[in-house]
Amino acid sequence: MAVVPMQKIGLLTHKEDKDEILSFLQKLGVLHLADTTIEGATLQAAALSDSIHDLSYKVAELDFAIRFLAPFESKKKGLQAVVDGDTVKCDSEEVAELAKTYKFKSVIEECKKLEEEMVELPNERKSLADLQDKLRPWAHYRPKLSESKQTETSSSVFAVVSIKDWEVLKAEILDLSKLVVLEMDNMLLNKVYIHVVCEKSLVTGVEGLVAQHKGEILELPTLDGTVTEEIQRIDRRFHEIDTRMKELEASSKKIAPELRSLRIVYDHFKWQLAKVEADKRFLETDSTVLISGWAPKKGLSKLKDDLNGVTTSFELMELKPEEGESAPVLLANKSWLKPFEAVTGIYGLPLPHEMDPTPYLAVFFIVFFGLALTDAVYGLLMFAIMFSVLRFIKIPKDSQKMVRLLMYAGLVTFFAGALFGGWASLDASQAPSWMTVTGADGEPAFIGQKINAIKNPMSVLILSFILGYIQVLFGVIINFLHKFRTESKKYAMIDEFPWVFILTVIGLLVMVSAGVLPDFLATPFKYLMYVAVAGIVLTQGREKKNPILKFLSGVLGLYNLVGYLSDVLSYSRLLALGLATSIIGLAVNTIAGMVNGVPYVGVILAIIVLIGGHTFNLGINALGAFIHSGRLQFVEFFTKFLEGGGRAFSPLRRESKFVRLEDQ
Amino acid sequence: MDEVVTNPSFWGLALAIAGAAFACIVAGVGSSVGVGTAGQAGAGVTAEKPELFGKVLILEALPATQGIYGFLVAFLILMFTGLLGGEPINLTLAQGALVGFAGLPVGLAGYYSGAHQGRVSAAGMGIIAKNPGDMGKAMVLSAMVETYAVLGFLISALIVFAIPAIAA
Repeated sequence: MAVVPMQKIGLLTHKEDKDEILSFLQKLGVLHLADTTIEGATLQAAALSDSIHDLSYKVAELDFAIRFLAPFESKKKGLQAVVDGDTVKCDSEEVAELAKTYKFKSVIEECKKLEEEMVELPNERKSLADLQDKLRPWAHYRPKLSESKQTETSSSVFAVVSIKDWEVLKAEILDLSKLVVLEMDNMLLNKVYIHVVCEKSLVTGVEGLVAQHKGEILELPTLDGTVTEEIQRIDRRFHEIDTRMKELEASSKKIAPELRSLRIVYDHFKWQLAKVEADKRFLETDSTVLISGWAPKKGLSKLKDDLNGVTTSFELMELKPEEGESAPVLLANKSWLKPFEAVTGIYGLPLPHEMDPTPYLAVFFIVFFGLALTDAVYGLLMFAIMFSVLRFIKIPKDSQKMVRLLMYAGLVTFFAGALFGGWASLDASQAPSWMTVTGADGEPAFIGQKINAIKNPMSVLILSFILGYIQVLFGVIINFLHKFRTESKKYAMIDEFPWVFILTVIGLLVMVSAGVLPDFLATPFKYLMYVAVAGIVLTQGREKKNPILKFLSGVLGLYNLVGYLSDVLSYSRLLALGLATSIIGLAVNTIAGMVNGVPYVGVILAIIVLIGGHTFNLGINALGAFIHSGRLQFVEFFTKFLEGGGRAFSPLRRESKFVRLEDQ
Repeated sequence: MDEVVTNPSFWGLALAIAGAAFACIVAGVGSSVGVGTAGQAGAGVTAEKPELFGKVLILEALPATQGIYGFLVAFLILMFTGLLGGEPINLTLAQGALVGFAGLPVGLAGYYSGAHQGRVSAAGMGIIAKNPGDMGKAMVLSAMVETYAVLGFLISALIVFAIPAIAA
């Protein structure tokens, strides 16, 4: 219903009870810790840094083991498994039990060993593969690679040249002297690998010729066996590596079931860490500690009672907030409104003294969403999908809000679609006869259809403006009422009421000129308008001292009317988005009709086009409807009464990455 | 001169088709530029945090709407001028120009809005990379730019809906 009133509290207790009380508060999740700026805290933080370091190290190691093992986990199938992801279900007792008894260190060590080898072996494989590539062209080289490649008088040159230079180079090398022998020329792809034996003094000459022809002098690696033997040896090693890798994977798979316990202790240590880090902020004496923070006002007496169950020696005090310190913001709404908190959440939270906009935006948001989508079939589909998700799949509480919101939205879209005759963009003449009636003009129309948006877009445009006007006026009114009730009555009347008045009068004038209200009211409303304008001019310059400036800023205040006008015009997007849905659907239907003419496979093609096209249409336009309806709330509505920027109430609690506690 | 303007000819139809082509091409280019920009930034985020791919994809898809609006206006022009059914209606030069101009609002507004929405989406990638929970904020920032394409589309569509009246 609103922003939950918060109270700053201080909890004074004995040091020996501190840990237990902190655990208790963490389990309850009701205390938003206050920021402390006291110098003494840093000293204490130093003392605590050891245990923080220790816990962080454990968390990091567990994180490593979890990441390492996760790929080897046998995955469950099905939607529910996708939603659950890595989370595990258990209760607090199991967590506590595991934290005490589970030997996670040995598992981590094992993971480390496995991981090390699994990184090393592929590296070895890679360097061996490189070596093998180097050796392969020399397969015809018979001697053992360990043997010396030169004698007293002769020496070997190994080189590689491009195939197109080879013939010339070959002739030049052989021309050099009779003491040059071409032992081998092995052509591979477009390169020639050559082995030349020559008199020692000729080596530089041969090498020079190779270099001239852009060849490269090579060294053969010094290895034990011959080239062929070595290649075979490497192949054998490859085989060994592959087998070993498989073994390693198998043993990783074998310890993968440990993941559940690892994840539980991971969260346990995370909670411990949060607790110790909270501890850093508290003021301590030798024997007492002061835990300070914010808690919902309503829950205080219950909190006191509950604390009595933990220890009797404590004192719960209500503190005055320090200057500039503002309370954290928590929203509480009736359960049917809860889903709309997701919309408010996108914008951010109101300040502690402001109103929670959730109940006010709910109806507008959902109606605008429906108008921006306007298709009964899509609406039903959305409703059915979201309903079955809620019914058959267990999803986390936070995501439930969004799913429920989309379910409501589907329902409203259904009605909006029916109202505008949007049934998967079919024309009434194409629809089965039980869905249609003959309208007053003799043309067929859908049952329940009141407006045809394509034939009569103006009426929808006007409807959009009317809705926009209502929401803008509503925003101005709640701003006035809130300020009137909570701040100064006088200033609310001076600053805010003239706007309520003038906007109302403008609305009435428009209604007269549109013929909704009888004509004779035109004159009295005109005079009311003069009064309203005068009201704005006289009040809006209140803060200026100089009477001339007062008047001028009063007149300038009238300029805000332009702002309100553009706000209202912005609602025309509702028509545009609704049209976009029906026209994309129309395009899909038309294309499906065209491919239906293809012989034999036409029907199948048409069905594929229909399903794919309408799914796409629903997806893209539901997204568009959601953001644009949201934008109308944030930009056109919230600005009338909300500043925003409140800090979220985030109490010390068990923040889980994996664990889903059943007993909470 | 008068005769050229008032006589039904293929030039009238040609102008209408030019309008349709303009809407589809220019708005499409805007979206292509926009989605391209957003996609590049998105790839960076995905490289660091693959688990955010779904959100990145949605943010990347936001500047795609302009191209769709352009396509829709083109589609409507083709449908209302009977080109889709294979029986094009006769339009005078002036009527054709009236229809053809319908392509301008969605085309031009779509081009600039698409290209710039892409930049905002790309910047929004930074928001979700740092704090995935703020996805909604990134989307709303990006959707602000789309407003003008929506308005352009609205006007284009309203003109196109008047084609039967214009051609009569």
